[in-house]
Amino acid sequence: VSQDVHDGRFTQALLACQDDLYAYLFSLTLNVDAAEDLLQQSNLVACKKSREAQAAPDFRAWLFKTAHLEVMAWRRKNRREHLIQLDSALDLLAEEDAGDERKGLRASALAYCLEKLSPQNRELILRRHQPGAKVQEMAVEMHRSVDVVSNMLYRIRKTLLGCIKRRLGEEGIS
Amino acid sequence: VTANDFNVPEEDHPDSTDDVLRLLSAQTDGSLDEAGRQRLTELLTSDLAARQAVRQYAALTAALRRQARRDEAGKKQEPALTLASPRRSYVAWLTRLGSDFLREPVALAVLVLVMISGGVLFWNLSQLSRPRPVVQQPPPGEPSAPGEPGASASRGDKTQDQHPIANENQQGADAPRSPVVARLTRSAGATWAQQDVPVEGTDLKAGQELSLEQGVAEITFTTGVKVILEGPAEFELGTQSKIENPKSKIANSCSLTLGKLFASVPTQAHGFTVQTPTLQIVDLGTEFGVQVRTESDPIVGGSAVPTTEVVVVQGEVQILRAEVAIAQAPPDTRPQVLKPGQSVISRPNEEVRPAQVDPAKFVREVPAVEKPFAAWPADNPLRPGDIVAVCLGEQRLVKIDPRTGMQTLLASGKGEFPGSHWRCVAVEPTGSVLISTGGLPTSGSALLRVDPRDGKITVLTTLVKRGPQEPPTNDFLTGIATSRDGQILGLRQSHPQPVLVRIDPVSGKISTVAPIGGNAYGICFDTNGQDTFLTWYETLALQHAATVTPWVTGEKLAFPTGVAVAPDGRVFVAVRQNDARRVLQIGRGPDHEVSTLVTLPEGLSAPELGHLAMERDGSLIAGSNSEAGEVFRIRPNKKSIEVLASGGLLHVPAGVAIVPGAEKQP
Repeated sequence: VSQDVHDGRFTQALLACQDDLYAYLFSLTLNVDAAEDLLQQSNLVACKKSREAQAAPDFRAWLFKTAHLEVMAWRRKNRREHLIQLDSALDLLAEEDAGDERKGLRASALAYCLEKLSPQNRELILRRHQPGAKVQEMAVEMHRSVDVVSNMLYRIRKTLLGCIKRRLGEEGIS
Repeated sequence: VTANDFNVPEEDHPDSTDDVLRLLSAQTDGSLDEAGRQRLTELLTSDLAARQAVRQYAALTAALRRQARRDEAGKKQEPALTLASPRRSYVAWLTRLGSDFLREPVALAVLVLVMISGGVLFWNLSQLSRPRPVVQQPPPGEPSAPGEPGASASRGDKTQDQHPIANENQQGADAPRSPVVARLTRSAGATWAQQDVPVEGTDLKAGQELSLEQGVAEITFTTGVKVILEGPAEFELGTQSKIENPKSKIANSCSLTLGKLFASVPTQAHGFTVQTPTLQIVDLGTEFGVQVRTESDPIVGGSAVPTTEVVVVQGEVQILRAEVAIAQAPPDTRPQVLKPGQSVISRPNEEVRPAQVDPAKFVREVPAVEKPFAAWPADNPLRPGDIVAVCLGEQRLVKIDPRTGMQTLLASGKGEFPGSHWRCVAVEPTGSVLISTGGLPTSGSALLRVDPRDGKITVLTTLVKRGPQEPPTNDFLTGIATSRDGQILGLRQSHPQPVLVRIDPVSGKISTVAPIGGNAYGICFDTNGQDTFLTWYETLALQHAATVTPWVTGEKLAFPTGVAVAPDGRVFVAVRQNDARRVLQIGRGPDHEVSTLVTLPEGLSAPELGHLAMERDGSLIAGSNSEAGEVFRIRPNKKSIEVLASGGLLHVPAGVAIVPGAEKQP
């Protein structure tokens, strides 16, 4: 482990970025499992290259660029040829976001809006976002089709986003 | 688990980003097809707003991931840990916010330690960011403070311990013994975010939260205070007292975290208090208006902060900054008194400033509205938009939740009424359900009316008495339809020729409207609420007054069953052509152009689709004569068909209907 790793500022900066980095990776993959793996992978790379990271004029931009490379590698590995158009559309996001300071969605607003859901809905959506959760398995347990569960999840997400937008105003999550 | 458990209220104003969100959500959950992916790609490529929607969706996903991990950690290590909602004061708001960040140094310290001691190159940040198992135990007799256990020594928790507001979520809101402090006395155009939608006359308890999404509601406190709430608004009853004096005034206070209210306070209720994120407003005998909204604050990087505006119309109010009210600001800060015509604006951690607030912007009376269905009972388990289905041979009436497909039994028969089979169903504007029965010879036939509140069934009218003395007959209503103004029309077959009949909703008296050309099956009102569409063998026809005019005839309309009309006038007919079960779309042009909307995929068991019903968003619900009990939802705009519900209580659910009411105006 290089001495640089011990630099508190580096780890702090890395930690502070975790939610945003995950959101970035997710927006490029639309896949929660992939975003999770890529987050770990990007953290690992960032640690290995911490010297380079600290030399970068903008750590955040450096980190996101590094993460984007990981995304590209993941896409190649996962044979997403059939999704090539979707992927390049998603890359537009990456270009627009380059060096952009993102503001994460406030946990307080989410907590507030989660409380407005029924307990079952809250459990359902949080369950979906636990590590390794599979919609197929949830559907089997609930005796419903994947489409029905997916549709329920969509409605909950829509409700949550609407609630959060109302609570914070558009700028709070954009 | 009941049908309402998965109830998610629909957004009231769907916009173009809904489409993006739906596609994104489906892609994430692995249920998006190729066509959907193409659509998503197109939207993302061409539409800036669509890309913005992806960012918002990704931010939500990241936040949900974090929250899910936290909850998981909380369940394992500290069962009492709950997520308190940030409410009532800006200080509490900041405190809650702070705890998110304060957790980071803890994780950081652990991280650094691990890396130094072990030379570890790989780690799982999510594991490290979970709260540590060691939790500060609260002293006996005190509720444990919510917050992050891992940050128990942080400033955030300290602040919470000092102020009883922090414990409110564990103690107050859902305690069954919360006193009734007010009643929802009137409302107009009100839609609520709550699961249990308050209706007029509902008692409201201390600690109860109300999210008024739109419309106006009048809340009358037991103390006599009248509050007019204007949506969108976030409101809570009986909360202020916990800040200043937990023992008193609970019935005479409220908090407003978003939106507008106008309060009229009678003499006996002086002292009525409104708490906002930035202000405590105490009435000194008044009428006053308060508005809370969020605005972007450049000092905190453009984040939204709450502001409060107050305007006094009559009498006086005393105002105190929220930080001062809970001793977070210099003690020399005095309450300020506002007189009629005076108004102020208040921002977090700033002195209150005079402002121009127009009192006219506050609604002071609930506007009179024509109630669409005056007789709709408050305790009706049906809500507008719910789906009802009858099971042909089982004599069962089932409610199907339109969002989740959950089934609930509303009523059932055991042969005590005329008619061996429950054939079709319609819902009256009063919320009562009509069921047409008939089938086996000698079993008779009737039109039943079900009160869904208790499942009680009455016979509205008998067509054929049952009993061996009656001649074998198949005289019954094959289809029924109700209009928004309460008309009931039915298709009566073989009496002695098929006729369209009108049934008086009070007396049950049957009168003939027009003869029809065959034994008809499908019936629905046209968009004008007067004419009806009818289907019989190879025919779709339009009835206007006493005339029935065929619209489309021929093989393409082989074996038509249900019929429904979209708000835009398109007509949909379910048919069976050879082995293919389809829903056709018929245009309103002079040619009545017929096209196939959807074909039921192979492998679905339904031999035939049953009646059709039109949902408020333009989706179709189709019954079936399937033993497996499928009820389908068809989305005309997407040309998709899915099984909404099947099995369970459903068995040959040929008849379906949608509960009317609260129609969205285009």
